[in-house]
Amino acid sequence: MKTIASTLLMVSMAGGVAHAADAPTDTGEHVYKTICQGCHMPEGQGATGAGTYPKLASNPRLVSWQYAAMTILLGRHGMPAFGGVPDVEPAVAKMAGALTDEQIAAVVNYVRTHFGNDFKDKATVKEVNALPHPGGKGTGHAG
Amino acid sequence: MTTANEDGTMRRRDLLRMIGLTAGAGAMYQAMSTLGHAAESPYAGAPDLQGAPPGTSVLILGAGIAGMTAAYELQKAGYKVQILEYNNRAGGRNWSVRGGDAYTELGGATQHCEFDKDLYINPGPWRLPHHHYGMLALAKRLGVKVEPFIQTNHNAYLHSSTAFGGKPQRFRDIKFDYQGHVAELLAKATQASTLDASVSHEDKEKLLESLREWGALDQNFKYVSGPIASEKRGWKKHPGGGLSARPIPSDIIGVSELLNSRLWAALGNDAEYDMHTSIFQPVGGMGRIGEAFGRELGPIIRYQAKVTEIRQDSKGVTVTYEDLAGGGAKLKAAADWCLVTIPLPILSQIPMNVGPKLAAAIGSIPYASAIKVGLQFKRRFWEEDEQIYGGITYTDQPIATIGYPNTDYFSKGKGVLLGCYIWGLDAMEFTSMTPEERVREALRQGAKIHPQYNREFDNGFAMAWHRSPFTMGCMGVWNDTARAEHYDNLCTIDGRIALAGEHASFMGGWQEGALTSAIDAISRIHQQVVAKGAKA
Repeated sequence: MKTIASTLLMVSMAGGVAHAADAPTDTGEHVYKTICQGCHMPEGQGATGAGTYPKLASNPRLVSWQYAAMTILLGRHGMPAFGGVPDVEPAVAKMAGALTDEQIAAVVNYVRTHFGNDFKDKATVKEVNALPHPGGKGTGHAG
Repeated sequence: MTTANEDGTMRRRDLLRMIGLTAGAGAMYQAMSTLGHAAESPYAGAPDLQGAPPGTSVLILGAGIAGMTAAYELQKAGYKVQILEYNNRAGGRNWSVRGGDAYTELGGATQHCEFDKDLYINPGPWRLPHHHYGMLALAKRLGVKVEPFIQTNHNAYLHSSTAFGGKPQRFRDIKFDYQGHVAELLAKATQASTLDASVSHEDKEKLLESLREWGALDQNFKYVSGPIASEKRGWKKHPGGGLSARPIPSDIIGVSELLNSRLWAALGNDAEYDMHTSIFQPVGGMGRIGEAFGRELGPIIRYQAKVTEIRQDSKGVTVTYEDLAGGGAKLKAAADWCLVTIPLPILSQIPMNVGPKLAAAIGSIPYASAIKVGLQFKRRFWEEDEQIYGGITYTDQPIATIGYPNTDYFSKGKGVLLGCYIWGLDAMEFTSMTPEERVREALRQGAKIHPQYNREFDNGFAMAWHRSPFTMGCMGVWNDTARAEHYDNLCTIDGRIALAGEHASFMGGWQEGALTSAIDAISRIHQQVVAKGAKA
């Protein structure tokens, strides 16, 4: 339950009035432009300082939508996990610091068809739903 | 918005909500403890590191609080010490941005801070709790004066976009009305003998008396508008002297409206041990500590050194780095031992021959997102118009926090507010904006609490920690699973390499965690050095 615990921490450190935040929309473009580009930058070009945020533009690793979806769901190195509780409203997921499976599928498909990427196959919400989520959700979700 | 029942009693739904609050606080504390935030500092004074063979050397990566603490103590004990630092300044996240400073974030946006002389923002840590013995001892030793940080200001605001028509409420009104209603409810239950199984007859009278005192109840154990409540929450017309002196009591907020506002959620902030009074800040900005420490250590710090590889063998450690000041030339530094304080998102990308357990730990800790925006205004309107002297306003808007300067009260001229302090997905959304957009958004939201923003704004500075070239995030985030699987491995010396920093502590995000982790790590290195008996 990494994301939920960390969100409790964050809310607490920030001061604790629960957010009545705007519900994010579900388009891949919206998710990319409000969340992902913070690190991966507006053109998917990545950035380098003492370390590097990998570029998503023309990135052959994106040939696997599963790789992209798993990275978003579970995090990778310093990147936080965005997978949360499946089947909740975006605003509820946001309270837990998470994206919905619908948002994750949408942004995976967005990134794989923009910034010089042109992969034809698409991830579906159902397929993302079946992947492992933080806290062990996902693979066992159907059963 | 709902209103209280006419007789002022609390409806069942409201009671359930209140119980939910208690459970929420418990869950919160549990989560905090898991993450190490309720831990007390283990600092027990400077370590005794005497007895190392002369010439034993330690290379330290990072001139933040952890790295400089280690360097100071090792050097004092006779070790030969060098530090490599990526930035062109000492301190790391211990940092204050002042007028004239320039900062370039990842992505290339450069901000030139235009604050007036002596005005600043702390983009990173801003508080020193009274039980962070190591940091307070450090400030004292370096001659950096500290002053009170105002954690709770009864005259600051709690704000909800949807409650009270969006009008900010004074902290004191919410706090004492909440206490008053809870006290009345508990008094009623006590008098109705509902609690007889838990409270003896003798204790019952004492409980009632304490509730009357704590909750400002009247002789009938009711919380009502009037002088008794106003003595705590404040008056509609304050008492004075002379003919115009007669006070007018203020009107209390009904229990249902109070509960539905959810503003009570922020009342417990100063109840956490890390936020207790007394809590301090360095005079002139948190960065005064890092600056003084850097000056003290002087030439042993090599700035603008970007570490690209860390190699160890049975005899020592060799670090390759780019000399950013010298056109990126590749240079090497070597020592018998190496203490690495580089934040994990960066360290996880640097080739380093350590065992699989440490490597796995380094790659498993995500870093939190956080935003701080400093806003300079042409005058201190929060003091002049609203009598807010330091402290914090909380809001349910994404900006979450407005921090007032805890210093230089009543001074003329400009002032700098902390315009937001954001975590979680809201922080990521702010990170995705340009610095100018972050400032604009902090202004737009803050103006709903302080309409003066629009007229008085001067300039701003926006820090997004995930765009920080020297950390790539704000702080390491641990959970139970990661702690169990990786924490000991992260802190265990691997050959001749050890890690330190807030990420290697149970005080995540606190400088005290960085400081104590450094002392712990070098003490263990020292034990091995002494055990080996000679310069190996």
